[in-house]
Amino acid sequence: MNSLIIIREKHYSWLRGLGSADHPAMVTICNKPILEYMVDFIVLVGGKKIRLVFEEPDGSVEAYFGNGERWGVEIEYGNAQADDTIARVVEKNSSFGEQAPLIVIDGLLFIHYDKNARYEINPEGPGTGFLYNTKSGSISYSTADAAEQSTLVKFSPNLQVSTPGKIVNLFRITMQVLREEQHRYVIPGYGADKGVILGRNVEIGKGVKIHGPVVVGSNVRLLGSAVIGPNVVIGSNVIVDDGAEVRESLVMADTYIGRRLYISAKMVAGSKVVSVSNNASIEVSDEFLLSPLKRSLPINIVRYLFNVCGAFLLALLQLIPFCIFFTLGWLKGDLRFNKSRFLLSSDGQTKIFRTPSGFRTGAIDRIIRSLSLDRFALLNEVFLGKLQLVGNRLIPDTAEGREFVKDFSGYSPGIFNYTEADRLDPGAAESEIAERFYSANRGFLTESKSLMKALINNLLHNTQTLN
Amino acid sequence: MKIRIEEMNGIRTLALAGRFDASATGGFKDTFKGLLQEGSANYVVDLQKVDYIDSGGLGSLVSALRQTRSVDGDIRISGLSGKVRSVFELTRLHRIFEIFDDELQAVKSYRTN
Repeated sequence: MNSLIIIREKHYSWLRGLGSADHPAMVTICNKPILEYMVDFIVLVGGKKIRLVFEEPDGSVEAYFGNGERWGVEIEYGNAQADDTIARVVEKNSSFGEQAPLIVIDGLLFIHYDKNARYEINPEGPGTGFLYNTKSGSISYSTADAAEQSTLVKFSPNLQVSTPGKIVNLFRITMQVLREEQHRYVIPGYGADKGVILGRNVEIGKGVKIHGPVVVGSNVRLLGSAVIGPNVVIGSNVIVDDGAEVRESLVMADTYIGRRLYISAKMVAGSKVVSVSNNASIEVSDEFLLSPLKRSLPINIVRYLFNVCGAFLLALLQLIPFCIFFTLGWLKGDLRFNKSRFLLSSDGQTKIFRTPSGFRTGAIDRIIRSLSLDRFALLNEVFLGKLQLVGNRLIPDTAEGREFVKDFSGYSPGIFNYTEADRLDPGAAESEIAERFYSANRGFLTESKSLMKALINNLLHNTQTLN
Repeated sequence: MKIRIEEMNGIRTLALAGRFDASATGGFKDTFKGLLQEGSANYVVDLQKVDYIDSGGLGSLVSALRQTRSVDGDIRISGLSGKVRSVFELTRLHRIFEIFDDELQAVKSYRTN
């Protein structure tokens, strides 16, 4: 049996950024991604091949599930568009979807299965029928002759299905799993005590009290005399400081809970606290109380060296011409600098840069642009690690700019950019493609080539400006 | 890069094979221009045998799509394999092109519309 799981991200965009999940389907229930419960369920009912279909794919899902070997199933990936019907998705995934029998899960659903039960699917006749069908999602089953519509399909034993449509629903599902259904699923970690599941590398202080049911993720520090539980899920990479008390709550991954803080009936993600009783949310600005914990990223030494060495070399080559031509430009009164704020990353970091502007068309201006001397003033930003030597186009900090970089996870601006290296029109679709393509395929050779191309293009054509 | 052109149910299919990079875009653009001049508006581009695509290749597909949409036509893509599919996703082209598993299904989809 094959299965298509269709995730329509736009309905779950609110889940993005909840904890450390990059993708809504990777948001966890008891420290296990919702999508993994769906995959487990398909495996349980005899699925051999699963295709995960996304509107907004993201590397984190593929990196986690890979080819499905870990689950004993073959996992593939496909795409759909926002307005595709189920039939259209099946049509697009024909080599996969036309093989019967087929289960299609449309939406991010939490299926309350039991790993110890043996499920049977009983269609009343040939064709396609729904096992579950609501506005927020459906589970359909097709038999060999899908042209006829069967009236009823049932699972035996019956299944309960929940939808994490709101934060309060996600909380409710988690609490149900934690209190009543732990035994029905494989939850990551080991059972330390009755109802207590601990992940890897959990540090528990001498005076810490844990009252089950509690699920704790990996790389967690429970310090001093913290009190955890009952009914608490703590994600991975969390610190609960001395004297803090957490009960009836979810603490999402990468969070710091400050000393003596009292968290009850809340969902905490970074510095955001949501009260599950009334869905009210507050952002705590004091980093000693609550704050997101950043995971340290491995430094790409080769890239860093390339940037610094390249910038240093360029600075040496440009220093004398820069002094000569900028002095001449300044004496002629042609040269002006503009202060503008630019975006530095997809998470909205910005910085003000002084960029040369107001050149009149004349010999000096042409020479300045041909020799890329207009970039000289920004080279120190490479040493400071704010800009790359070669990277994405600098985008001004405007509403439009923010919208553009929001879903551009690898956005990393440079003094020289990929658009000018390929001589593309900065506003054209081709430019966006090139920017995304090179961002995803960064490497020493690619960047060296792009730098050379940008320098040569500027020398020969001097048409591109910095941003 | 090799381009095989066929016609199925009145839809032109272009099956590409090899590397679709900057060096191949000229050939693709010329071929496509010729087809457009013949008056065809709907196409299927099969990338099953394309083992590498770069921003130049993607750019020429987008430019071809723009031309066909200006005459109320469309280009549908079929046969995306691992790496090529990832590049389509990274550059968000799966939102612009309709993508099908195989050529035949992509051709059929013009009828079901």
